[in-house]
Amino acid sequence: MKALVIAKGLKKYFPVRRTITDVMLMKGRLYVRAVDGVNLEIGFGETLALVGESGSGKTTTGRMLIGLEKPTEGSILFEGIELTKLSKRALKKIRPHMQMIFQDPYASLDPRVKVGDQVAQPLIINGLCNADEAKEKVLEVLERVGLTPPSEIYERYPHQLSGGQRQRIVIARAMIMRPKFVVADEPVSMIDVSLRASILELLKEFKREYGLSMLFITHDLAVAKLVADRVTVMYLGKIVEEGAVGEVIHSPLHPYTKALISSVPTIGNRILEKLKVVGEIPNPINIPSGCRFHTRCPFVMNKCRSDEAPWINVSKGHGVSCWLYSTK
Amino acid sequence: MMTLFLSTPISAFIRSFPQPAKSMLILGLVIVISIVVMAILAPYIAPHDPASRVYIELQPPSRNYLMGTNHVGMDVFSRVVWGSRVVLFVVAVSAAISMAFGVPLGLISGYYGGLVDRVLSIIMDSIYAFPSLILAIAVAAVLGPSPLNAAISIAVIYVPTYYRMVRGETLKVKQMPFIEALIVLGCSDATILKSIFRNITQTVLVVFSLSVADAILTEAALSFLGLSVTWPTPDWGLDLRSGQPHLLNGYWWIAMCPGLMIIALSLGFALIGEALSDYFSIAAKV
Repeated sequence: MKALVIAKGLKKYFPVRRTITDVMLMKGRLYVRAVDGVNLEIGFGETLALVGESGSGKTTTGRMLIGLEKPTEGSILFEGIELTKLSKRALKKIRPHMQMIFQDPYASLDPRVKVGDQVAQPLIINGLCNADEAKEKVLEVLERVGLTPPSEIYERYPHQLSGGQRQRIVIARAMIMRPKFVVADEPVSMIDVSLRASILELLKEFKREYGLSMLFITHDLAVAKLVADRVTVMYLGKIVEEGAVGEVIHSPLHPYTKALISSVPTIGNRILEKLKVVGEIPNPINIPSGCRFHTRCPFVMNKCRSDEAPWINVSKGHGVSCWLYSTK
Repeated sequence: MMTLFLSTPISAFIRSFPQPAKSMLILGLVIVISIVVMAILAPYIAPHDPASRVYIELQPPSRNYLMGTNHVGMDVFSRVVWGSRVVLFVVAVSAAISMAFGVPLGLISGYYGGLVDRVLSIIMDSIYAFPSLILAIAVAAVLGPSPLNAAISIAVIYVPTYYRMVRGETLKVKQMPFIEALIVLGCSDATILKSIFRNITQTVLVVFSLSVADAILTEAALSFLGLSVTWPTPDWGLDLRSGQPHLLNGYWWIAMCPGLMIIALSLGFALIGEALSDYFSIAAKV
């Protein structure tokens, strides 16, 4: 086994609601092709950053890997077990090994339950320990994520904590099970900029300590650079570039990656030339033919409009899906 | 006593209401609580036996007979005091029944969706489509006249109200990340439903207040039609009917006193319900 999580040909199509007239005119069903054939591998102890604009399908991909969404097509292997074919009950057994950290720390905690009890919940429902042991473990974890004094924090309700503190609670709840795999969906995008670094540092510490694998979803390449080992860039439901984080950021290949990097504001000198991409991400109901980026690409060629670009491995572990790098 | 009350969480909750909702809530609570206290202390408040002749008939309100006497010489005031027991009993039982069916069905329907949701929605919509009073009369007529049967027939009307509101809120809460977090943690459906329920209690409270306000009028209508208690048991709706023939002869107190009580109690619950729905910003329609 070479990787903890292997996704192959992952697809998720959401049907678009038809109106009565559509049905009467016998119009075919339309689909939002949120994820359209994604291959991913996340190694043991590896953090893979999934980068893309909003609407690129990165969150849907993460939700499928964690089992919150059923893929329309494709396979997900977790430790060699095919998740897409599991029954609800069998999936529940695997759940403790996979956890998710949500984007909005204000919505991901139950407003009516003490935060301590929420952190203890996974231990108790999975029958790992009794109430007293659970409380002890929770206090430990709370201290570990930097919430002190833990006995005081335990008794608080979510509205009595700040956004940063809440996200620490969410991280504590995910980590208390010592999961093998964590999907972090933009965990710092709604957190005050001054607190981001410390939250990211916390995630890195857990990763080192527990040796866990992580899928880190973000739209911000600067954040990806801080936490990830490898980066995968997604555009309109497809992966356009993948490689080691340093390589992708310092020598990006795909015009879309270049544009994403250009859009990160920096202070001081920049080596790369700025690349501007016009317009917005197209509607995923009507995906452009050929290379799906051709409508916005500054280097568009005739071939791009008609044929989908092949996957080209430019160097070891660094691949791109673009006609510019095709030798044919 | 007053200072003790002011330090409780309930008083803090009431004080956190913005105006005019706060005044509505306080007025509603005063009305409802005083009527409930009156019902509990009825034997001590009522000066006369409510169900037997105690004085000359059709006497106007006086010192000894605060609301006068009716056409058979019973004390109207004593009848009003005792009558509150029947109304509150019927309304409480009917609310408990409709909640016991409407809330869990709404939760299940909203959470699971699919075929269960479709079937339940169609059943509830078809109950809702009937004019509510006619439906209650029909059910009560089939079951026969008694306060418990009146409660059951009123309960039937309000099950769809609870169901629709709870289902809608469940659909909303179900998508919240904290519910998805529970799924990821491996919680059972029962745990998740419990968590959803905890977060929709305010909706249930609003629907309860507003539907009770409506149920009081329905109860009065049923007993007016003789489908609840039987004469000479004191009951507001029934007394409204017995006083009605004498209204035109100038004996206004027989019907007017219980009638005003019906309005007051219904108004009390409506004020509470409106204030709560304002506060929680829940648009409830009963």
